[in-house]
Amino acid sequence: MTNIRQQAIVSLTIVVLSAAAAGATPPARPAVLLQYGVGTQLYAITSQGLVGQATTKTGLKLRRMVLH
Amino acid sequence: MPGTGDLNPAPVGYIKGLGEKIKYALFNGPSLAATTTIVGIRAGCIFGFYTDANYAGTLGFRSCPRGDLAYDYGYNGTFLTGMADDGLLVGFHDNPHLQYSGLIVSPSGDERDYVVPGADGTKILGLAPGGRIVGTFLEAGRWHGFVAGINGDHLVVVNAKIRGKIAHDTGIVAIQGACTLGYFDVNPDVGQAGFVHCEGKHDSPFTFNSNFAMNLRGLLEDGTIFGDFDGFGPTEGFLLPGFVKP
Repeated sequence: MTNIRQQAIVSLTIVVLSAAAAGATPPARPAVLLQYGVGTQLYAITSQGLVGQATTKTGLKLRRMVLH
Repeated sequence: MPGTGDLNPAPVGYIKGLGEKIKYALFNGPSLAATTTIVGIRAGCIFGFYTDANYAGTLGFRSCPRGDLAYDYGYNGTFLTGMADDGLLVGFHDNPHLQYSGLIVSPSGDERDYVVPGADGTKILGLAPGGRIVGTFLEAGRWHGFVAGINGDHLVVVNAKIRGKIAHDTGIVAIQGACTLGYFDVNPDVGQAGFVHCEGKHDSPFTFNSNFAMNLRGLLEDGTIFGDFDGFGPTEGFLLPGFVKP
């Protein structure tokens, strides 16, 4: 495995959202959205942190979302 | 070149530790991969899958301090989805008929396929406590979730039951305590939502939008659910802290 870049280009966005699961008692549940670039897949939470796949970083979009 | 320059506009693996700078990585096997997805880190090894330099196919990989290995069991693709502390790997691959088979690679490197008996295809989507595998299999045009022992024993078929109705397609990705995490198709053609089944309770579905594809990846001991989703824009990761009480 070769690190090809280790630079502070993180665009970690944390958005606390009002959320509710349909079909169940709907207490407000926060959702945290992550985006390290355009297109971020989150595969695991490991002893070394979050891992997955991301595409080249660009700008971020902040969107308010609600679980249905 | 490794360590310098800008990233090409292609998907790369990342590791983001708390309070640390993000690390991007491409698997450097026979040649530098075109794309890389890190699925997990276990026993000091990074594992996942990558697209080779010519975009000719997807292969699994395991990168350990003692060396790297690539896994090519598929016609077009081999995907690793789980790794145990002893080095056992699970995942799935396709064949020339574009059917999927689950794969299990022993710690010593011996590979065997696993297909749910009678199924037209099987994907192992992860490992669960107790040495079990979870995933989905195709039968009579529908995907069903399953939980089984590593040898295929004690097979349990799981279908999401949403508001009293069996979902068209179901997959199981994780188990934590008395709760099972999976996904189901909202409609046969569009939309994939998550669901949690905890023993003694009704299945609880969730999604950001019924047209989105929710890709569930894991369920932590504290009840946090995580994964990513394809919606109206680029794929985004998500965490649902304390979503269930396992």
